[in-house]
Amino acid sequence: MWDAFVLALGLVFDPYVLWVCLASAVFGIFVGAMPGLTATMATALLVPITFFMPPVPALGCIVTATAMAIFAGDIPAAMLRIPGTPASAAYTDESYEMSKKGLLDLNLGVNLVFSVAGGLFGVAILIVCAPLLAELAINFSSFEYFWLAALGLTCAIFIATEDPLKGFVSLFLGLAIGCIGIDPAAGFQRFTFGSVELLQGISFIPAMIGMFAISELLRGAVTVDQAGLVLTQQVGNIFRGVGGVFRKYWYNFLRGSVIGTAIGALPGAGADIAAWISYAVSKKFSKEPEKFGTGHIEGIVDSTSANNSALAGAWIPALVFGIPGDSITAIVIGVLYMKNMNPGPTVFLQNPQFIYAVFIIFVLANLLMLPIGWAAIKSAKQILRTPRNILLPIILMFCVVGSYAMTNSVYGILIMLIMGVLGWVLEENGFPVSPIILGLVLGEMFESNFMTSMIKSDGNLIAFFTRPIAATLGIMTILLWGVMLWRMRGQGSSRKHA
Amino acid sequence: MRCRRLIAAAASIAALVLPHSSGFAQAFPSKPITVIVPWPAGGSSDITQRAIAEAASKVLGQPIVIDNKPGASGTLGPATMAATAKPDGYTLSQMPISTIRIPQMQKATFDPLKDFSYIVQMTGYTFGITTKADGPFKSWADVVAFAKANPGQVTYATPGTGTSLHLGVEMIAAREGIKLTQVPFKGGAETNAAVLGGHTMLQADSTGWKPLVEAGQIRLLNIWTGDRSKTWPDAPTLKELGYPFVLDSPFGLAGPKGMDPAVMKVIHDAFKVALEDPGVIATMAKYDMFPRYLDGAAYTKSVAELYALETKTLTELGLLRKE
Repeated sequence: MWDAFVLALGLVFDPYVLWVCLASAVFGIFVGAMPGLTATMATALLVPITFFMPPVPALGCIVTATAMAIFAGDIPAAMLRIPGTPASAAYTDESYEMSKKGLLDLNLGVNLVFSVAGGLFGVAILIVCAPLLAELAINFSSFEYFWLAALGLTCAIFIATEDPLKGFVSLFLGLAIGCIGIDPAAGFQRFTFGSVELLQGISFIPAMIGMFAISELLRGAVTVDQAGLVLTQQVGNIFRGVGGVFRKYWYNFLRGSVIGTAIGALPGAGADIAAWISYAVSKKFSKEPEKFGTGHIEGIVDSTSANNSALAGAWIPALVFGIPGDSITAIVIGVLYMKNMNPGPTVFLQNPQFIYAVFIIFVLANLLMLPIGWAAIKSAKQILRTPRNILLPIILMFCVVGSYAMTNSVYGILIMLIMGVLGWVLEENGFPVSPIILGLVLGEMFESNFMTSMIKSDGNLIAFFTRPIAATLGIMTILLWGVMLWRMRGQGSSRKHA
Repeated sequence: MRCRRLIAAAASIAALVLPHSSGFAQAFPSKPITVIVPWPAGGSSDITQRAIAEAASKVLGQPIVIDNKPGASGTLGPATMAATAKPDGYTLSQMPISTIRIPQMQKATFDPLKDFSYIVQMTGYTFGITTKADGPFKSWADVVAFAKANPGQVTYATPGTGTSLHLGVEMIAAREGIKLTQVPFKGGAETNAAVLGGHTMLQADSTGWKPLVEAGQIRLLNIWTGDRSKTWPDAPTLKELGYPFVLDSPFGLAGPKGMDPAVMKVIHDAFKVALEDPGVIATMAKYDMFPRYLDGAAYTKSVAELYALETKTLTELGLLRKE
């Protein structure tokens, strides 16, 4: 084992590999910060380039680029309310509220430091207990995924800050929009009206950009003539205050990282779902849940740690079984094949030095994130100096390009615009948009696992409670709903008395 | 992933703007060609197509851009091409067998016999049925015996309803007079997890199971090619088991209908060379796939024959579209 490790060190600390990692880091930051370009897309774009590389730099560039992209998605989320990648969507509103309160420095500092820390935590778990965790993750069947999705959807209750009923309306709207396209079990076309474009469903990324960014631009357009910038403050020392946050919320960091790694390791869920669930968990167990949604750092600590640790977690089943933990590792497995490193149990025996090399690169990539992320934040601050009447059209252009890139057609732009107007109208009337996004993220997982479970159990609903993990998750979900409905009933009657 | 087409668009704008001095009527191809892969990036269909495209682009002298457009059992990409692309040879698509089958099972926006210009058949898959290594089934006969005693109890994971894997197992079941329950997933990664985690008893899929079989974690019960695989000589073919069919879902390349035969020939010739490239053959071999070259005319004929065969099979299984 020691020999392989030394061999791996030699493979990684080669000037060529380090240059590749550095270049991929910059590339990853750029892709992640651009709305519409995701970490998955960064990986797909790198695939043809990796054809011409030996295995270690090929994996190095993917690992580095994706780690950077997941963090970089936080920058436009905080500054402009545009999540750069879906993994930042869960806490985009919270970050943006912080910026509006003048806490942009602290927000970006926390996002950077906890992304690094969460990433390193995930890697540590990957190194120490990959085989064990993979064994557990593989036991998750459609019953467990169904309840996990149900639990995730229940998060909408916690995300909706003021009125849970409006949160439900948004959530069901999101689920309804998610039904458009081909149904996952039988291939039946739903609400497609004979359109080829609608067959692929409502593309998630353009919808997300529309809901968050376009609605915000519309709000800004109403008041565009007002003097001043979107956010007036400068990015100062972003690391100031991060230490204090760490001392106060170290427990949140650990919890977020554990949840992130675990959800990442599940073959059916990735960084975006990890962020949603850990944000909701954070609010549920917070001493100050009323502060969530007003620009409170606590939930961000949980979820920004979670999405970066999920990235490493996703490699656990990918390396151990050759079963991808997310859409990124799905592509990575193809690359591993090309490099003759057949992922699966044998790779640990045949090519241990490559596995160690991946681990080392993971650590390196996360450490590299500190200086490069810092530089990215520093250069991004120039955006905030741009006068608002120039900045808004430029942001719109980036949104249009990002949405187009997702579908290669005007269809993506149309979705973005329609969802943007819808999001604006809803928000002006007090309906939160986050639950819609959540409905889109989890809708298919919820439905397809329900169908799969029903097929397997031959329509017997008891089967949803016969497996221990499924039963636990199921009872948790039902209890949460029960408590919530009971509380709403209480609120309703007290309103009548008032 | 789809923004690669954006790069192609940018490159083609550059190609239009920059070398205009070289004359108006340039020979085909004068700009990058897009090949739609109707599956997600990273799978066997994607990786082999990338290798083939890479080799073909060297012959053509223009880059080939892979555009992953997964969805609708692999028919979304070809359907989009048929509906939107010009037949100028710059937009092509990989044509999975589902484009022949799905329109016969449900309403579709295209007709596989009329809406495409078939250029070249490239390769096919190696399919097989697997089970967990420490499970109760040691051979296919065990499965049949168990299914006879317990109708509908045996579950099998497939990469989707209406895939060759789904139909194949149903054809076997019809012959044996047994009832098996299909659990459809979206792709190989998910069916691997299903059989490995014991969530379904069997897995019917293409060679995505290869590493797990090699590691001894799952057992290959049979293989659907014409002859036994050199990699797994112990797995019997369907023919040996008494089922007279070979299922390997050959796939090729096509453009929208109405393409110029001269352009089709240029593309065909380049891909023919690519299919003989040692690098391409080696990449395919990783997935136990082999070049199965047919020229445009033979491929078109084969599509028509397969279409008729599918009609027959779907009728027998009661899956034919009901108007």
